[in-house]
Amino acid sequence: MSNIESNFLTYAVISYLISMVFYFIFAAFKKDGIGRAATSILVLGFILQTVSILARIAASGRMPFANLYESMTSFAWGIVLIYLIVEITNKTKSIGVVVVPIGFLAALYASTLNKEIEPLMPALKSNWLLFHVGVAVAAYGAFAVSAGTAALYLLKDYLNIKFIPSKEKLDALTYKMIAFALPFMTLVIITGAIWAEEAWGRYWSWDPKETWSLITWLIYLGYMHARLVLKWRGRMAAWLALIGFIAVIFTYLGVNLLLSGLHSYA
Amino acid sequence: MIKEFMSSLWGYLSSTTFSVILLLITAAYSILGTVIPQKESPQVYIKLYGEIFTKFFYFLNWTDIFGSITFRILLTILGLSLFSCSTKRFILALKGKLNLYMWGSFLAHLSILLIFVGAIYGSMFGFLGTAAINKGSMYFEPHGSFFIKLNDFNAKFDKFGRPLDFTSDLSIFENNKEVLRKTIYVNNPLEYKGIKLYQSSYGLNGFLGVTQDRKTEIIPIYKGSCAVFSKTGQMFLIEELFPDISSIHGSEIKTYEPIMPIALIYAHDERGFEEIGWITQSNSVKWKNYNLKLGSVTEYTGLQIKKDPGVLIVYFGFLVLVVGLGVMLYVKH
Repeated sequence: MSNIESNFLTYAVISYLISMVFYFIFAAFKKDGIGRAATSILVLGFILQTVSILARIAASGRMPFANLYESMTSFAWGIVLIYLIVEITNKTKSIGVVVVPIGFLAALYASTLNKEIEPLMPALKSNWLLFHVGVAVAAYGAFAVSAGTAALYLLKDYLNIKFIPSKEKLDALTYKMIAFALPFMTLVIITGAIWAEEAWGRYWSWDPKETWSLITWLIYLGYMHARLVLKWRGRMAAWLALIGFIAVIFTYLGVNLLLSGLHSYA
Repeated sequence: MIKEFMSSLWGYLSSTTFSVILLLITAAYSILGTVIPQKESPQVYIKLYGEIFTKFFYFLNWTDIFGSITFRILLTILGLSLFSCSTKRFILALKGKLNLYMWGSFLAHLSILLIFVGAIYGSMFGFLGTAAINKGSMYFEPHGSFFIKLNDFNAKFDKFGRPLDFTSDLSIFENNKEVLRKTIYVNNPLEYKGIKLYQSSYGLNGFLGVTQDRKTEIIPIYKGSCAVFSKTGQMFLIEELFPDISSIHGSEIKTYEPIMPIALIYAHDERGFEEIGWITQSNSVKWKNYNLKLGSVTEYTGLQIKKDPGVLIVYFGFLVLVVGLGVMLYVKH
C-alpha cells in the first residue's frame, strides 16, 4: 500500500463528507452558491479518488478488482461518476442528497479495509476479471442512483417535501437508470457464467453469489415488465426499484459476509 | 370445453401480470436455496434446525432446492409463459408494423428459451465427473475411452501457505499411444474429443503401515480418511497429511513435493478419537500394542471431467440476450 493511495483515498472520503453536508444545506435553503460548492467539492473528491485508484493500479500492475477493498473503492468511484453525469445532464442537484451519502459510505468503508496488495489467487487469474468487474461497476453505480431517485420519489409521495423534484421526473429518471443498468447487470451474470465455465467447468452451479445475482436480475426484470407492459407508475414501481437495490447490496456484500461459497474474494 | 380451457390457460400464461408474479416467486424461492445450506448431510440440518424442521425440509425438498421437482416445475412454467408471451407478441407484431423495439423484445425473450434448451440438452447428453490421479499414474476415462496420465504436479504458495498456482502436466493416451500432452491450471482446461479436463483441486495420497504382533498391514490413506486395521477392526484417523515436516513449524512452504511427509494420527477407542501423535517415514509412534509408520506418499491432482454439448447453445442464448436487450433499451425508438 503506497502512501499516495491511502492518503488520497482519505482526502476523497473527507471531500465526499463535506460535499454531502453542502448538498443537505442546499436542499434546506436552495442557495445556488451552496449547490455549486456541493458539486465542486464532489468533483474534487472524485479526482482525488481517481488519483488513489491510479496509484493502486501502478503499484499492483493490474486493475483494482481483486478483493473487497479494491472492488469497494471502484464501486464508490463508479457511483460518484454516474451520479455526476446524471446531475450535469439532468441539471438537478437534489438527487445528490440521497446518492452522495451512498458514495461517501462506500468510499469510507473501502478506506477501512485491508489495503495490502495480495497476489491473485488461481481462480482470479483470467482476462475475464477486467470485464466482469468493469460491467459490475457500471451496473451497480447506476442501480445506486436509481435507488436514490426511487427513495426521493417515496419521500415526495409520502411527505411532499418541497425541494424534491416532481414525481414524474423522478419516476422517469428511476426508469432511465434501471434501463441503462440492466444490460450491464446481464453482462455481469453472463461474463461470470462464461468465466466459471472456464475456471471450474460449470457455467452455473447455484452458488450463493450466482443465485443472488440472478435474484437481483429477476427483481429488475419484474420492474421492467411492470413498468413497460403493465404501465405501473409511481409508488409500487419505486418500492420495487428500492427492493432491487437492496438485492444488489446483498449480492455484493451480504453473500460474502453471511453466506459461504466459491466467490469468496469480494 | 377443452378448447375453452386451453385458450384461457394460454391467456394466463401469456399475461404479463402472471409472468411478473412468476419472476418474483422464482426469486423468492431461490433466496431459500441460498439461506438454507444445500445438499448437506442430515446431521448438519439437525444440528442447525432441530429434528422437526429437518423432517419438514426433507419433505419439501428444501435441502436441494435447485434440484427439486418444485423448482423444475417453476422453471417449466416460466419457460411456457416465456414461450406463449413471445409468440403472442410476435404474432401481434407481424400483423402491425414490426419495429426495432419489438424485435429486441422478441430476441430477449427467445434467448432465455435458448438458454433453457441448451441447459436441458447439455444435462441429457453430457456428463460431469471428478477424478483424483496420483503422480505417475493413469486414469481411465470411460466416456471417451482414453487414459489420462499425470506426468507431473506443481504448486506454488504465498507466505501464508495459500496456493498461488497449481498445475498438472497431463497426457492423454489412446490405444497405448500418447495423443495429447498439456499442462492445465485453473482457468486453462484441456479438451479432447469434446471432453474437458479442469484443474479443480490437489492433495496427497499415501500409505500407513500398521503393525501388531508382527502382523503388518499397509493401508491407503489421505487427509481426513479413516484407516482400518482389518485383523482387529481398529480405526485410525488421518487428521493431517503434509508434504513436508517444515509445514507444521509454520515455515514457508515452497513446493508440494512430499520430501519429508508427515501425518497426524488419531486412534479410536471407547472414548472416541484421541490424538496419538505425528508420524513420518522414519519416526513411528506406538499406541497400545500397535506400531504406526508412514509409507510412501504421492501428490494427486483433482480433476473435474465434463462434457456439455449444450454450452454452445447457452452461449448463443447469451449473445442473443445481450443483442435483444441492447436493441430494446439502448436504441432510440
